[in-house]
Amino acid sequence: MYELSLFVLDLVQNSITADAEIIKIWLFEFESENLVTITVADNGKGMSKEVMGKAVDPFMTSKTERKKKIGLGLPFFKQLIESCEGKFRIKSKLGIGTVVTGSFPYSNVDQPPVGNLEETILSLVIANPGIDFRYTRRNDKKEKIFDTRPVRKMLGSDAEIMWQSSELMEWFRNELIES
Amino acid sequence: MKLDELKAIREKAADKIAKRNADASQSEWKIVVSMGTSGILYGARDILKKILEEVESLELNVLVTQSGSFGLDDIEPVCAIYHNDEKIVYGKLKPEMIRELLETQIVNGNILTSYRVAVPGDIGNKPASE
Repeated sequence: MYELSLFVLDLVQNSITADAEIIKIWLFEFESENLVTITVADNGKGMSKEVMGKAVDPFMTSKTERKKKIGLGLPFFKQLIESCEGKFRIKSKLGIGTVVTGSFPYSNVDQPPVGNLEETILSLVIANPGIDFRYTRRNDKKEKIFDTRPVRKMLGSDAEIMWQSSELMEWFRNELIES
Repeated sequence: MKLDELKAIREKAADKIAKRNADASQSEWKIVVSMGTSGILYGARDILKKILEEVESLELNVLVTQSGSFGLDDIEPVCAIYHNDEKIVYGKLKPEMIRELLETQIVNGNILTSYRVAVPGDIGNKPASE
């Protein structure tokens, strides 16, 4: 993988598989502090200490439906972060959720491009009508926050049926990308 | 956020939804894109994006969603199309073939045999009726 946004997509898919109802994503790019931090947090089913210890082991996966049990998502992310002199952290609690963070120096030559993170989040939001997303992107100059919860509140019981209507998708696009 | 706009959107979309619900002959379609690590590596993100765009452009009544890996890593990107109790899996997807796939499978109700993958639970395992 060559873009940070693809790693975020992979981490978020883990959260979806863990039955998360809300998934929060933060991207901080602080040139002044020479620090980039990417975090994905969810309120999914979480992991026990034992499972979490193995979560970064490429030969561990939560998949049960098949014989081949290999999961490379977290090991890939960890490897990427550590290859650009960064720090990888994972915190999880059964029944509470999971937080995965990678942070690395802003000026590292090995750091991958962020890629099209807004476009990625947009697809995630649209393709998961039952899940709420909160996305925050912040740098030295500005901050952008996108949250689906006020939208869901506004639309009430119609939210899920309306989620993939062209009108609402257009609104999400405007909020996330064009603004 | 421009939440006020949502009110108007809600009213606009409500008409459409009511119309759609009234047309009982339309049955449920669902497309699931496999979004595991290997799927992402082989371009599943662009496939999902393209499917969303084409479903909108063809004005199809289809739920588009994503899931973890189907376990078909050798033929990623992969999607499954569900219709009532039927499931048809397509592999080695490319963005440029999505429109043809949707037109053949959903608009015309035929299986696009060249890209279909036979997996357990797929109606492709039964002799094709066409």
